[in-house]
Amino acid sequence: MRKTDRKRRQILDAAYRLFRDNGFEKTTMAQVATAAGGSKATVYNYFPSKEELFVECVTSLCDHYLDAAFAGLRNPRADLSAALSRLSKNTPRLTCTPEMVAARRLLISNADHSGIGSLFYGRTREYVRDLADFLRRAMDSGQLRKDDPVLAAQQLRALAEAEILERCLLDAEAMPPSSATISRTARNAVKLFFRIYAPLRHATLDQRSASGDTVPDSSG
Amino acid sequence: MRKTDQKRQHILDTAYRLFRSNGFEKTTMSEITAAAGGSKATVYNYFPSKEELFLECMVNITDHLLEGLFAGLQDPKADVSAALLNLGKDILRLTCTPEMLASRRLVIAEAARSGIGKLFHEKTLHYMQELAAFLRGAMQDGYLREADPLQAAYDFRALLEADILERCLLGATKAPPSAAAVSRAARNAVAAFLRAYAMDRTTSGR
Repeated sequence: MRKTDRKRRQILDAAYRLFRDNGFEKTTMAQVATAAGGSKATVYNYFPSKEELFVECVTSLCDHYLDAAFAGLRNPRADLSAALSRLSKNTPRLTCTPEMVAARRLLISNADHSGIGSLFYGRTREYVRDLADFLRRAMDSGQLRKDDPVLAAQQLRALAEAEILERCLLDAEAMPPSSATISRTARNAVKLFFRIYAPLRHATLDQRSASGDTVPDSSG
Repeated sequence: MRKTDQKRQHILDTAYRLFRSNGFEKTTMSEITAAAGGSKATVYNYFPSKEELFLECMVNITDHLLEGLFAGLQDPKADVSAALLNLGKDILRLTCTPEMLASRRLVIAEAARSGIGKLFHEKTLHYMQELAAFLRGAMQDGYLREADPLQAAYDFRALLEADILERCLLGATKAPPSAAAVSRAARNAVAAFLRAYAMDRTTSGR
């Protein structure tokens, strides 16, 4: 790790702890600088605003947890069904941790008077793009029907996450949810996704196989 | 409306205005009393705590904004795809208004306090059940394959709100979204939902 990367990491770690313990509002850039062992100028040198620092904290947490699942998507020989199952389980496993739910609550509740929600949304598009690229290749090779890969990526994520994440946001679900809940949701999401994007040529055959127990599923 | 109901509604409307502009934390029962006109005892008579008043406010505004959502629901026999498309557009239009987004943000912000979020979730669950009842009808009539209708309701909503609601909640797009954006999202969702819940060719008698 280069020295500047190390400093950046130190600031992010210190900021993460402060945001987690004291919330976004009550955390100041001066506190972050002190905790990271540097000056305010150094912090501002890396992060132009508290909003951007917060969003970087949250997204570096995402990167940390999701990198392995997304690395699997970049492997050209990755098995489609296994990769989608893995991703559908790993995404809510991260987004429904107490830390991420707290961060998302904060992003949502401050969205109307600060730019942090919008900033976060922009940063997470990279994940959608990565998944869309993977789906595009599966569409090109005929494993999935040709359609808009970005829409398909958004739909898979919604099916795997929307219901469970809403319950977490409302504090109506264990955080993190049980692995049984996550597996059931992921299985349903992948099964529906294959029904929606079954290649047209083999529609009849695929629908039959998708309706039974032969559904590709590696959720284990 | 009975007089006590009127009084209750008046307190709810006043409290909602204050919560909406100042947030939960900074709004006090005294302020609500002063703004509603009346005694603190009256307010407490209707709502034993600020938390309960807040919860009722949020359920009340949600019911108000979603009023009539399922009233115009057509019989699935007419045209299940058209019925879902209209319903989908209505749901998106209503959930992405600035007013609805503001109350949702307030509930999410206070969700962990005194079970507010959990109670809100329970008190608004009937919307999903109404959607499930409609889908059950379509399943029984053979327009959709047999499946758990409540799960299907959640799937429909997930497909419908995919991306667009998150974008609105996070303030990454102007709210409400344009009519064109709502129509496009609803069309995409209905097309995907109908493929996901199409009758299995092998079991379909139709």
